Formats: sequence, C-alpha cells, structure tokens
Amino acid sequence: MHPSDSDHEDPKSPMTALLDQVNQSDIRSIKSVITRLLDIINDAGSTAKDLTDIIQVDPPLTAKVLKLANSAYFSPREKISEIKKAIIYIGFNNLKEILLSQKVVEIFKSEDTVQGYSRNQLWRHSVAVALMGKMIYRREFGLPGENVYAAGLMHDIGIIAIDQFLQEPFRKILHISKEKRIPLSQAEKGVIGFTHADIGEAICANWNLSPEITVPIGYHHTPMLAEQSYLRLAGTLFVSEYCCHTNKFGFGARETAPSVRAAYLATLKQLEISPGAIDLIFRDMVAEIAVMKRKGLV
Amino acid sequence: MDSSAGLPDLVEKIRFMEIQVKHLSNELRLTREEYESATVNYFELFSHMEKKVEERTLELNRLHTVLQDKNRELQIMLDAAPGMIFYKNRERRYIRVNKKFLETFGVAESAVIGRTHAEIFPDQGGGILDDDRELVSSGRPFLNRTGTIQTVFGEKTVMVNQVPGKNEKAQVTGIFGFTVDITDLKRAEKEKKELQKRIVRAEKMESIGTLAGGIAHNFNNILMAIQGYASLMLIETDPESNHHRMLKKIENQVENGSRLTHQLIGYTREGKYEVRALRVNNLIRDVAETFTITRKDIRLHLVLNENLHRIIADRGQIERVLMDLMVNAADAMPQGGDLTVSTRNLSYEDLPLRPFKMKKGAYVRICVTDTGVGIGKDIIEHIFEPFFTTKGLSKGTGLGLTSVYGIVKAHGGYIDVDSEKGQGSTFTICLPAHIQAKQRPADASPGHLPRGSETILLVDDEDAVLDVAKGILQYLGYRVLAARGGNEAIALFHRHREEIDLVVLDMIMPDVDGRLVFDKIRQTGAPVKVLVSSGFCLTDRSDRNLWENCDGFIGKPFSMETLSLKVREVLKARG
Repeated sequence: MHPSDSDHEDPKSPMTALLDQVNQSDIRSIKSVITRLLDIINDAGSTAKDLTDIIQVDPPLTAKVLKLANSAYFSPREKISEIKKAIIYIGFNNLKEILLSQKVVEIFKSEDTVQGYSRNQLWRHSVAVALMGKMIYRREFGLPGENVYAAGLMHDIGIIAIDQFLQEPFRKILHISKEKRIPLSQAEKGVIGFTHADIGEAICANWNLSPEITVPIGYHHTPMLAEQSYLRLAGTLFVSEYCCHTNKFGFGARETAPSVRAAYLATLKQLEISPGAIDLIFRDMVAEIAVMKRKGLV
Repeated sequence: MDSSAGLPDLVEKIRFMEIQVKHLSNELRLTREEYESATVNYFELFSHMEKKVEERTLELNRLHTVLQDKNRELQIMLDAAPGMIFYKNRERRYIRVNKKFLETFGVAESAVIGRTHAEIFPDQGGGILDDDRELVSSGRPFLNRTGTIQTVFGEKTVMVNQVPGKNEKAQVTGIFGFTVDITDLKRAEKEKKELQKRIVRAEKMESIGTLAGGIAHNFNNILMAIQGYASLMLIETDPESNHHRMLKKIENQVENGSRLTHQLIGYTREGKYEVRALRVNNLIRDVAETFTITRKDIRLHLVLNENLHRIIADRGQIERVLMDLMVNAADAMPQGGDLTVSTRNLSYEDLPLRPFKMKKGAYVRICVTDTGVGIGKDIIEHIFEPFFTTKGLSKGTGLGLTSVYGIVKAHGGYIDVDSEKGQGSTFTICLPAHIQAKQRPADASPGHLPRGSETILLVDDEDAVLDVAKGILQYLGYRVLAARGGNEAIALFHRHREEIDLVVLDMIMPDVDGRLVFDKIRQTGAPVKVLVSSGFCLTDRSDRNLWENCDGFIGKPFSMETLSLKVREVLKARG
C-alpha cells in the first residue's frame, strides 16, 4: 500500500526519519479516529450509529458535537445531551465532514507564525481547498467528492511535519521561497530533498488511508505526473489550491508563479472545466466558508 | 448593430447559465441521493431506538412485576406476624408498618407513613416507640426493652427490639422495630402471684381454724361438764331456793360461753345441726326480706340463677352466713349503696381457687357485693382471723367472719374476698352442690323433756361429758352403756348389739375416731340408730356418707332439754 514510496526513491532515508518522528508524536494520536471516520465516509452502508460509536469514545469530540448541536445556528427547542439526537439535528452527511475537520484541525493547533507562515492560515487554506475540491466534484463531475474533501483537509499535512520536526531547514525553505519567489515545494526539494507533498503522502499511506486520498496529496502540485486514474482527484486538488492561493485563502507561500498558472490552466483544460465555472464555484465556496464560520466550524 | 455587438456577451451569459444549470442539477441529484440515504439512516436509527425502548420497557415491566411480587410477599409476612413490625427512616419517620401496628393503634396507614411517632400521637409523650433517637446516632440496637403503649385496646405492655438498618457503608439508614405484646404474660404472672397469696392465706386460715376449733372443743367439754352438773343439781334443788336461781345463772353463763365457742368453731344454733338439701335462692330471698326491713338506704339486688343446684347444709348456719355477710356489706356502706347477691353454678374446674383438697363435682357460688368503702390490703390478710375486728372492741366480738369462714369450710366449701380501698368488696362463697337430693326427716316437735326406756350406748372420751350425759339419760329413764373411747365402744357394741337401740357417738376421740366406730356399727347391719355428738363442726373430713347415714346430730355442750329432745326424736323415727 505504499505506491508513493517507490515513485520517490531518492530521499528515502531523511523522509523515513521524519515519518518515524511523526509517528512518535501527538499527530499520530488522531490517526485511528481519522481512519475510522474515513471508513464510514466511504461506506455507503454506514449508519448514524457507526458515527455515534466513534464520537462517544472521544470526549473532546463529544463535547464539540454537542456544543455544535446546541449552538445558536441549530438552536434546538430543548438542550441536546445525546449524541444520537445531535446527529439528527446536525445531519449525518454534514457531521461526517465536520468530524473530520474537527479531528484534522488538531494537527494545526499551533498559533506560531514563522516568516509569514501561520498554522491558522494554513488550516483556513486547507478547509477552503477541501470545500472547493468537493464542490468541483459535485458540480462539475456530479460525484459526492468526499475523498477530495478529506484529501483537501490533509493535503498540506507535510508542511506541519516539516515545520515541527525540521525547524531549521523549514526556516531556510521559507526564506528561499520568499527570496527567490519560487513555490515552496521547489525550495523544499533544494533544502531537504523531498517536498511536503511527498512526506504528506507518506504519512497518510502509513496511516493506511486509501490511495484515493494519499495519491492526490502526493501529486497536488504535479497532477499531470499522476497516474491516469488519479488525475482527476489530484487535478481538482491542484486547481482548488491554486484558486485559494490567488484569492486570499493562502498562507503566505509563493504558489502563484507564472509557471504554476500555466499548469493550472492546462489542468483545467484536462479536467474540462471552464474558468467561468471555477469562478462560480469559488464564489459559492467563499459564501459557504462564511456559513461555516458562523457555525463555528472554521 | 447592437444585437451583433451584444452577441458575444449573450453567448457568454448563456454559457454561464449553462454552467449554473449543470451545477444545480448535479447538486440536486446528489442532494436527493443523500437525502434518501439519510432517510434510510434515520429510519434505521429510529427503529433501532424504538426496539431499544421496547426492550427496555419490557425489562422494566418485568422488574416492576418482580418487585411487586416481592413487595406483596413481604407484606403478607409482615401482616402474618403476631406482633407489631415497623420500619422508620433516619429522621425516624415511619416508612412501613404491618397490619398489627395499624390495628393496635387504630390508625390508617396514610396517617402513619412519613410521620414520626410523636407526630402521629402527640399526646402520648414519647414512649418506648419514640425514644430511639440515640439508636440512629450510635448504630447500636435496642434489645428486649419493655414498656407500655396506649392502644385502642387500652394500655398494653410490650417488649420491643429495635435494630438499625444499615447500608453497605455501614451508615444507619433507618430503624427496624419488632414488638411482642406481653400484657397477658404480665397479667398471668400477677394473677399467679395473687392466687398464691390467696392459697397461703387460706392455708393459714385453716391452721388458725384448727387451732381455734381445738381450743373451743376443749372449752366446750368443760362447759358441757359445768352445764351437766348444774342440770343435775337443779333437779335436786328446790325451784324456789336461792341456789336454784344461782344454778340457773350458771346455766345462762355456760350458755353464753357455749355460744362463743360455737361461733369460734362454726356453730350457730345451740343443739341444732341439721343438714339437708337446701335451695340457696330461697334462703337468700328469706334473708334479704329480713335485711331490707332493717336498712332502707341500701338498694338490694338479687341476681339469682333459677337453675341453681341445691346444697347439703344446715339451714340456720347458711342463713347466719348470709346475714353476716349482708350486715358486713351494709356496715361498709354507711351512706347507703348497692348490695348485690348473686348465685350461679360452677364446675370444679371453674372454681377460681382450690385452696384445700376440695371434692370434685358441681359447686354453687354465692357472691355478696357492696359498693362501700372497701377493705385495705393489710386488713384483707387478716379478715377471717378470730378476734380480728375493725369495729372496735366494744362493738364486735371479732368472730363474725371467723364463724362464717368456719361454717363454709365445715360445709366443704370455701370463702374468699376481693376488695380494694374505696372500690367496694365482693365476698365469694363456693359450696358443694347436691345433685341427688334426699330429704331428711323434719324437726321433731318440741315437747317437755320426753323420757324413754331404750338402751343407749354413750361414747365420749371426756369423763366429764360421759358422766353428765350418762346422768341425764339415766334420769330420763334410759338404760345407759358408757364407753370411754372408740375401742371400748366397739367392744361394748358387739357384746350388747341385740339390746342397743341408739348410739350417741362422739366424733373426735384419741384412740379410735368416731367415724370409724360409726362404720363398724353400720357394717354389722344392725338396725341401730346413731346420734352423732361433737364439739367440733362437721369438717371437710366428715364425708357425706356420715351426714346421710347418721340419724341425727347434736352439738356439745348440750343441755338436758336438748339431749332429751334429740334422743327422743331419733328413737321415734325408728317406728
């Protein structure tokens, strides 16, 4: 289940070391919950009871779900104190995504800002990419797009890993990216020999997430290099990310170089999406984020 | 121009709208699919919950039934208990009580549950069921405590066990109480003590009676001798002389003395001791008639059982007993009051007291009840004793009740008294009933010293009595064989059995008892008459056989007149 490993054979040992560090850190603690959530999301036969089982064993999650169900947005007639009732109020499908993002956000909890990069912004960026990716899938391809959403939430998890465990190289990477006005992944290649996409894919693969999530993460800057069957997923992630970077949903990285824009337009063409449709979707995505903000989800 | 210039715009607009239509239709389809799956989801969720609720409800119902059954079982057990059972909580409020508790206090359950004992019975001032406050704090049980409680059945003595109810942490959660009604036990104990006291009293009376009787008997013999000699001297003295008058005085004084000794030993009328079957009710009516004439301020009530058995008794003596008791009762009511005389039949088993070896068989009970001043405990102890009087030495002889006692005892019965200071008194007499009545011959008509010539065997252990009687009888013309004791009497009888017409037989003799002599005589089958003479009354030892088979009875000391009349009467009955 590690197809990405063989694709990026060169920087094996430093990346494996980083992976080991991640697996020994707090980040690992969310692994099982995310895995089970994704199982439920991808299983059409799953029920609200399966979701309840996950939530009940996780006290912070239980608290968040109940807080959400009792929030002004849902404003239930009487106070909800049962997970089952909360699920009915919030909605099964809604809750799946809410739970996933609530869990992933734990990885992004640090408030540090390092040379124009902040984890907060990175989280906001990740949610926007996930939401936009899902909307593209739904509207353009008529598909639920739940894997895109999950992949979108975690596509930059590699940055967190590098930031947390390779702090000095990471400063250098940010510095180079800023000075040379080159995309982050290009600077990463130069400094540590692999990109955040590489390590992100490796982490998710290590967590036994499905290739529908791991592969798009690995190729979210280079969708054209991905296998044909993952092209649409990776491409959608790339398109979404580009839009967010160019429209104030970035996190300070230089991801809008002319070369990137060319790749963006080529990818759009490849996915048979008109720029007008992207504009429309982006607009609705921004509105949706505003709604989520009101719900207290972002 | 306008239209051609606007064309690309329009195309762009149309394309834009096409995108929107595509987006919306895709969203719509997806949303519908999601809605459908959500519906299934919710349905499953609900049906799952419903099933759970149903299962839980069934289980709850089952548990409820089990609890109800247990509760019912417990209530049956509690209600079946002979004593009161209760459970109080820490605040000492009743949580549960059994039926006995409600019955005993005559309260409804709703008035008990949730209240403390003091709240339910504010006027009882605590009591043994309310003083368990300390038990809650100490956690130690109160065991085998006795106390009294006020119930609908009156004051009851109970023994109470109170034990603390504790939870698993050994904290006191309440009080369990169990009570046993020991009122009857206490009363039985008290009654037993009372009975014992009465038996002791009766036994003491018997020994006093025996002593007094013995003394009286001896005095009687002395008086008998004096009387006899005086009688003999009178015969030989000129009726007009001074000596004749003085001898008469001696006779009078002897008579007074004799009355005293007779009282002491239970005789009343000199020379008359005639036992026969009597109707006590008639006797009571006669006495009552005389009595009501004397005391108008006393309401007399007769509660007489008309089917009363007859008794074998001397009419005069029983009359005397009734009169004495009624006079006593009247004396106890100087301000007037109610005097009740009641009669009823009793079986041997029903006798309230059996102090002596009383005979089995039917009894007649006579109660004389007054509403007077009552008799104090200290006095009751001595009331039948000789020379004990409350009337002052000048007023009474102190022999009235002693005599009553002696008479009753002589008739094979007993007398007892119940009284409390200020509560009136009840004298109870029980006498053996006579079921098969056998009329005794009527009294002989009095005549003037009837004489005779028959042969009489005279038996007495006292020389003086023997001499006097012999003198009198010989004077009257009889042939007299004198025997000084039982053995001599039997010997003489066997030697002269063909000649002897009458035996005058003393009862109490040192060698062979008069009763034995009587039996020996009767065993011979000789048609001889027997006149029993004794200074002693017929005690319980003198059986009915003697009473019914002797031909008469004469009390000592006897005057010449009495003896002559009695002997003549008995001999006359022969033909």
